[in-house]
Amino acid sequence: MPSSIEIENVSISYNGTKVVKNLTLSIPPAKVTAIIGPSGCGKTTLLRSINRLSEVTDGCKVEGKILLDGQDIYRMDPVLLRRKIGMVFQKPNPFPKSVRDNVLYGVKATKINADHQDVVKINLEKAALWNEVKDRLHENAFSLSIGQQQRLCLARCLAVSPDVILMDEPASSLDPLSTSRIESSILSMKGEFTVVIVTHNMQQARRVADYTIFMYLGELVECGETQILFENPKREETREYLQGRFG
Amino acid sequence: MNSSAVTFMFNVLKRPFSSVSVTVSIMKVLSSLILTVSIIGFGIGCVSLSVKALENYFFPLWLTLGGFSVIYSVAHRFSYGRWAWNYIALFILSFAAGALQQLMPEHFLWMQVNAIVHRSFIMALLVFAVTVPAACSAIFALFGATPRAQDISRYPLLLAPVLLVFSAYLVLIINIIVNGASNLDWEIIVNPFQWQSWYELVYKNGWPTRELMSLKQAGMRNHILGTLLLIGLTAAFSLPIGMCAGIFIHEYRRNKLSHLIRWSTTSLRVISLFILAIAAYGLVRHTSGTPISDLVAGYFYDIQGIRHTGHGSYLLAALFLSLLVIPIITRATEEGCCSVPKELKEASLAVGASDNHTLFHITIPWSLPNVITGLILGCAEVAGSVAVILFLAGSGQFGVGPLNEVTSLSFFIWDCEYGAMTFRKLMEPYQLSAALLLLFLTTLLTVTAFVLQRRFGKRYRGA
Repeated sequence: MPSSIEIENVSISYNGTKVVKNLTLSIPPAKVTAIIGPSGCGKTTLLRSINRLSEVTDGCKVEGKILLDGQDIYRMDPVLLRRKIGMVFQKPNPFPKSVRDNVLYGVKATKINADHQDVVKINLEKAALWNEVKDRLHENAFSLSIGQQQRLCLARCLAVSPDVILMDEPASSLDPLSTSRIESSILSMKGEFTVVIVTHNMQQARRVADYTIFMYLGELVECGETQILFENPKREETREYLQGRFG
Repeated sequence: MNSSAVTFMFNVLKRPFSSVSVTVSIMKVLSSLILTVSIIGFGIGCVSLSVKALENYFFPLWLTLGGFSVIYSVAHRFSYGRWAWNYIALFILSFAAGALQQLMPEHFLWMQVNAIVHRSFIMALLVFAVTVPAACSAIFALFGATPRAQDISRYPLLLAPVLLVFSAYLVLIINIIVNGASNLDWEIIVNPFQWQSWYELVYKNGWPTRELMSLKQAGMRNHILGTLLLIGLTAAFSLPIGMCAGIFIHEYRRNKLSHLIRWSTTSLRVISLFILAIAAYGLVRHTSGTPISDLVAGYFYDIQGIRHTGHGSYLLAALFLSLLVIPIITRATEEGCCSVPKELKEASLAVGASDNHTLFHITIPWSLPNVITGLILGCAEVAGSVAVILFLAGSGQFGVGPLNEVTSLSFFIWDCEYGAMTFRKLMEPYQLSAALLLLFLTTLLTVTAFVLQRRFGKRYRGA
């Protein structure tokens, strides 16, 4: 079941330097929400704090509340939380295992009893990869192309059937063809998952997102429906960024 | 026919007759000759570090090098109007070296001790001093005296020390192989060393007499098996401990205890092996007569079935040797764990795997190539280290087992030199054979390490 996320007054700092400042926003369930903004504005940091992966980094401190379906995530078990919130990273990072083991990694780690062959097939199909790799399921994942690797990472993330999927610039290292495939997978996930996608490609946000959040220097500048934000921004900074004056 | 074509043909006709181009091509030929002569000379110098008869080959070297360089310098004078001073220096050096070799006495006393050094050794050093700069200059001239030629001409300087060390290694290995293999046969490998004597009651003409019986047999079976047992036991002790310590240090980097463990493994690494030996020997001495004496000192039965206590068991030796190997494995494990890409760990955590699951499915497989390499190189060190077991080891004639008296191939080599008279009498000819076997074993281990590292790297790192 897709969940909603509430971010209440969240500040994130690395070794005392504030990267995200007093952010409050809500991410609606079963929709695609894009976070846009220039580099270094704290988009990725915010995303990583939603599944508590920021805790892995030394010196990262999160203040404020993040609620997943009304539950404070900092009172939940981080491992259980991450089973509900999947993540796709900027750089494709498949495990040095076979394609099949990559998809099943999360399933085996979470001890979900499922028909493994079905899990592999369904999730690779969702990630639009099945037709390309169905004969090479036992090959090493590193033998795939970069675009295929990224879709494999998406399939791996989908395999544990999370409620929320976080995507950290998933198409930034891919060619246009792979990008369009990833985007079509994102569009097909609408309704089934809550998707939060960080991107600094504004056109991508426009293509895939229902809601868009614009961040600048760690602060929330504007958020709203994509159509409205792109065509009729309320704030001057948003207009300038969308027109390409800075960033 | 237009005028430019005429000019071109005239130039082509003129070129061979230009005195400058003739001297330049002479210089090219001379430089390649000098390069060839210095390479050959360097090779002879390397070999003559151990073969003194080769010193007669130095004279043609000095002659050709000196002659070529003086001709080169004259050609240089014709081409560019000045002498090539480096070749003049080369000429002076070669002729001085030749003269020195004539005047030198054949043997030297080396630092007032009774080590006698042959003339050829010192001449070989002189050969290196002359041929390396000669090769540099020749390469510089051959490549056209450009800045790039300057870059290329430093290669002899960089290569010479490497080749020297390599040739010293080669001489050692050839010596071991030639002298060790000549004595090595199947009998010596499959038989254990034996030298036991006892009195037996024999009836001679109806009268009981005590007769001295003895069993003497040359062989090194128990030493070979002992080395393998020692390696196996040490690996069994040190692999789990070393891996655990390495993983602990990596997983709890900020922990005080982790710092302590890292510090103690490092200090174990630099401790003198003789201190370990003394500690082991002290343990054997102070536990004698206590119930654990058999574990520590080892025991065996001689040919008459009489029980003896040894100086130290394989178990104890392996325990102390594992102190030598644990730091290696810890370090290797830690390095392997640190080399795991951050992205992989985060990917594992992000799909809901616990830290433990990530450790066992991502971190440890990734670090396995490092661990295996560390383990095998540690084992090679165990096979070669004699210092730790020096006070514990025996002749190994009473069998091989965890509670027997320890022995190994490296101790065999020591024993042939300084051991008991009985042992030396039988086994002295086989000293280099043991060295050959040890060399073979360690080479095998090292090669295995590299092969496994590549294979595991492919399997667990995908590259």
